[in-house]
Amino acid sequence: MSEIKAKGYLSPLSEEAKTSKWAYIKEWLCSTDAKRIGVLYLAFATFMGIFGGVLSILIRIELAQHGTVLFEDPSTYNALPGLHATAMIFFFIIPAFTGVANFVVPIQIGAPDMAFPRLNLAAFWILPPAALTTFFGFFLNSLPEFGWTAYPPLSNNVYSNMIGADFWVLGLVLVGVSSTMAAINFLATIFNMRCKGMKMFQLPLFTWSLVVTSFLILAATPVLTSALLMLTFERMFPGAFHFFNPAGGGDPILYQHLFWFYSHPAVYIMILPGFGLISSVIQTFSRKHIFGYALMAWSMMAIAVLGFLVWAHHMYTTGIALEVRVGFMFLTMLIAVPTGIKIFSWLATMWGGSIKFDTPMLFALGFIAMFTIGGLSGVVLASVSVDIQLHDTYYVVAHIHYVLVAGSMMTIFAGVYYWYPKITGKMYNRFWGKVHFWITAIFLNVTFFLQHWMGVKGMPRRYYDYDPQFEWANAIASYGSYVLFIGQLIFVANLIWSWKNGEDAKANHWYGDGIHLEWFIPSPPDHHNFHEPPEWKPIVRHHEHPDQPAGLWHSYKD
Amino acid sequence: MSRHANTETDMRPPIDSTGASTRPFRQSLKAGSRYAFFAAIAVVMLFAAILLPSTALAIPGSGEFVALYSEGGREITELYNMIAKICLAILIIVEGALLVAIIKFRRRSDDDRPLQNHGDLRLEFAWTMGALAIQIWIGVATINVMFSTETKPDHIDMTVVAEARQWEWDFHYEFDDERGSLTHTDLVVPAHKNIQLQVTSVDVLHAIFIPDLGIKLDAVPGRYNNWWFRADGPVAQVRPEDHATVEREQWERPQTRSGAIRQGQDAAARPVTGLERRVDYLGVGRTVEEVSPYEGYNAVEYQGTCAELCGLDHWDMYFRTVVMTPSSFNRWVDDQLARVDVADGQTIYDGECAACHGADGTGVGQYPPLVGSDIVSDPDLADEHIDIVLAGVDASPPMQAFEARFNDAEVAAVINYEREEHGGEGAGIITEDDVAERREALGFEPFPATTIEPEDTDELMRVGERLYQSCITCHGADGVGPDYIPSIAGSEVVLEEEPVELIRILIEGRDLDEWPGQKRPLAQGLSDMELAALLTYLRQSFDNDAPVVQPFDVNDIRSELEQTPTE
Repeated sequence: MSEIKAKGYLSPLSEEAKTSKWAYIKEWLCSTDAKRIGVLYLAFATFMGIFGGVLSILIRIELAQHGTVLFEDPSTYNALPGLHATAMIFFFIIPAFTGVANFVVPIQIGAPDMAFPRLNLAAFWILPPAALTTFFGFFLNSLPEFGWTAYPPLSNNVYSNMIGADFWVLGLVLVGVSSTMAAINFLATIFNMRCKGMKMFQLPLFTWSLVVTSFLILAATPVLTSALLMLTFERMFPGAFHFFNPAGGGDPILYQHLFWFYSHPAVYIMILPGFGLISSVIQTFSRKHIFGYALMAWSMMAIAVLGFLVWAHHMYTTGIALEVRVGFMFLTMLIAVPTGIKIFSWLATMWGGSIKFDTPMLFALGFIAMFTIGGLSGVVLASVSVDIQLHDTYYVVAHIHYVLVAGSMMTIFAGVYYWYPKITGKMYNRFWGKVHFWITAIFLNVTFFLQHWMGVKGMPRRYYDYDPQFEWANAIASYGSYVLFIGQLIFVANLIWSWKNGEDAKANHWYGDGIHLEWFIPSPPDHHNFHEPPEWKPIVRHHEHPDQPAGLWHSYKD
Repeated sequence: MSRHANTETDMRPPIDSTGASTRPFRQSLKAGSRYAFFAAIAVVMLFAAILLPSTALAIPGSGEFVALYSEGGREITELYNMIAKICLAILIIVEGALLVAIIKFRRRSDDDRPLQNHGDLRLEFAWTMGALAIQIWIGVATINVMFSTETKPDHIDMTVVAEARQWEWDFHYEFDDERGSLTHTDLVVPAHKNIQLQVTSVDVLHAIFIPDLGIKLDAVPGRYNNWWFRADGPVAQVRPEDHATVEREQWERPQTRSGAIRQGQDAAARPVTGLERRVDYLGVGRTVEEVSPYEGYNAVEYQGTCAELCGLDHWDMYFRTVVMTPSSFNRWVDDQLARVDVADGQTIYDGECAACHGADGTGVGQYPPLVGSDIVSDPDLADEHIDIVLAGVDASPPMQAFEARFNDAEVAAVINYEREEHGGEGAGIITEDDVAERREALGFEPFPATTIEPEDTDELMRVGERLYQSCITCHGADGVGPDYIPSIAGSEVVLEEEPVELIRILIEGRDLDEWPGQKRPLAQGLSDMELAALLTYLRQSFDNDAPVVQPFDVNDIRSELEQTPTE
């Protein structure tokens, strides 16, 4: 057995692992090092992302033409949109951000590891069994066919008595446990383990976003878990529980309130880390400090607080009173204000800067360009009267994909490319990185833009087959999605290939412009990040620009 | 603190006075700017790719709502157009600023040292307040539309209960005591009337969705959700007396950007004769007939469907929304209440039963097969078979009761079909009387099949007399016109046993050499009922004495005439 050669935290710790490949793998799988757990999270998220992508391609193949294309039986198709959403939300986007954060956050605050390393490892290892449980219906040929929202009565034991649905519900409860554990860990780490001299309002915005996101998870997840357990009780003990059954005095709308009380904040759980991450990328590649740092941090908190007060905007058509809808509409529209602040502040950060177009920056620019479309379609949807027309149509499908694909997914890509040299100590292939960006940016629009049109013209979502007048637009969307999916395989191949064959990365890899702590330790970092506890010193930095007033750069310095 | 041991040459703060010699990826000035130039070109291409589809919003009609055929729907469409314009403006500002920043502030040299700033309080305050102001503007505009479209008017002309089930809709109508009630699978409403829709469900969540009228409302079991609307569409008939309050402005159509849509609106200005617009897709469960069942009415058809995921055939819950002139609507109700039920077992089975039991009777998913079932094949169990169809089955999954949906003849027809097709040998022949008997035994209301009832002659004469007022200028109040105009009294054409020629003249017009005038096709727009009334009046007035003409006679002759056009 050849000796395993690796630098930094990648290097084997025990003597056995130095020579045995299996011992090395075992060391990885059982490691409590936040960096290794972060990489495990990312690998898991990549796998589940491809899985979710395959499900979406099956959906698009069926919809590519009018009539039956792939599935003779609509029941198989009906399961797909829900499973695609579950895979992407709970097993791709959230774990991907958790993975990046696991790697970066402890370093950015100058800590050697997370506050509770074993809790961290446990939180990760709940995820693969949770995924297996959630999708266990595939092995039993018994898939839940009620979408990711699982509205009763459709999801109760009378109308969906498939065993796969019980597994699905339990899997989601497990995911909730995992993300709660991770959230507690991040909060404990960020509040208690910042290096000497670092105040909360000196945290990098990515770390800030994790603070806000963790609070969101802690406050919202119990509500989802309760709703899912109530649903499980109804399913498991027929006739004994009537939470959502009108015949027994329950109300199906109650479930929707509980579900959206989690699932609306969940949208911010999925996008706020992206907001923080993009702030780092933009300031590095623009060679400028982030514009309006304090307002950026406060606007994330504002989004989080408002995010808890708008859940009923998913329920405008359920028959809730007009006055109540007016209230929820105004609160919903208010969210556009802090979001707008963030967009304009990123533009202002770039304004007057010196912009370098590396792949992470391309993704950041693509994110701003296309997330704006998703944000503005959100403004359209916030307006109650208009939303009632667009509710449950493809307009909503287009909106959520502009927010989650152009938002969350592109920020994840930006983050992975940005920190790839730090994580692996190698540089990814720049050419294929750019190819990946262009395919993503262009075919994302090909796939999703026409879906706005379909929605406005009245094509409902979750339809196995549709009115032939929408055929041409669906065909374009389907071909777009095929290319979009193939483009993502380029990304995965590039990362795997470059880990072996890439050129070595520098410590402060991006032209020396990284200003957070992770760029002042080697790539890849050593096992405990810092050999001595670092100290954060706000310093007055000399700057070469002749007109530059003094005292603007605060950074780590020896 | 001091640097730890693993120091590398490039481990330095980002901007360093000594950085020039050790800065990584240092390139020559020239190469750097060329790279930046190509990058800028690439980025411009990106924005072209993003902005091109966005401009589609500005292309006439492309982003337009289809909710144009009710007052509320048009208000919502206008609101959408306003918000979409604001959003398009913001989009252009943001993308424009991004594009300018990318081109103007690209890195021209690795030594670029931009001027630093931390923010600008005035600028940040400005865009916070700007965003707030726009949101409040949109919010207030929306509230106006919400109150205007959702506040129930003082007077509701008719209430329809929409009841959703897996996977079809039933629309219940309650009329006065004389006419009783009616259940139908299409939503048929009179135009220019305030209609209240009460939406509910008997099983899972559904949502009624009629894009053209701007209606979407969830159907929740255990609840009645209310919505009201006033459809007008191309059915521009005489304005009803009780709505003299409808202002002229409200009748004006919103400015639309599309020529195609404007054409549709011009059509709204002229009176509709016959079925003005028909639906050409109703999913797989309901094939669209060659001739719409609403062909004989002055009406418009819109597609309606289900918008909330409700299980297997969620995508196949289409129904027709038919907006009729009030007179056509009355006629339709009468026709429905007296409809001939030539019950066709296979049609009913395919439409109602096949979704669960399978077209071939082998069952779908958890639903039981009919093939091989004793109930369907054993003659001794025929009564049980009838009971199941009438009363449904309370099991998991349940089967609905059909007693109120099908009359005795229809139930008998579908049971006979099932017993012949799926029961194989031993199939018993069930009669209407058998079904009536079981109905009584189960305690349900009787629901016999009836035949079409002829229209009352007095009613025909009354309507005919009113219609004839349009003819007196030429033909005279007593049926005798001037010399050069044919008289109606004693006319052979009028008194013909089958008034084919008379109907042809009325609906196609006539031009004779010996006659200087021209008979214009004045009756073309009349319904079967109206034409029948006019003919009856002509044939039984002015000392004429020919048989009464019924609406179904007119219908027959009309279809004959359509098949044999005059040369």
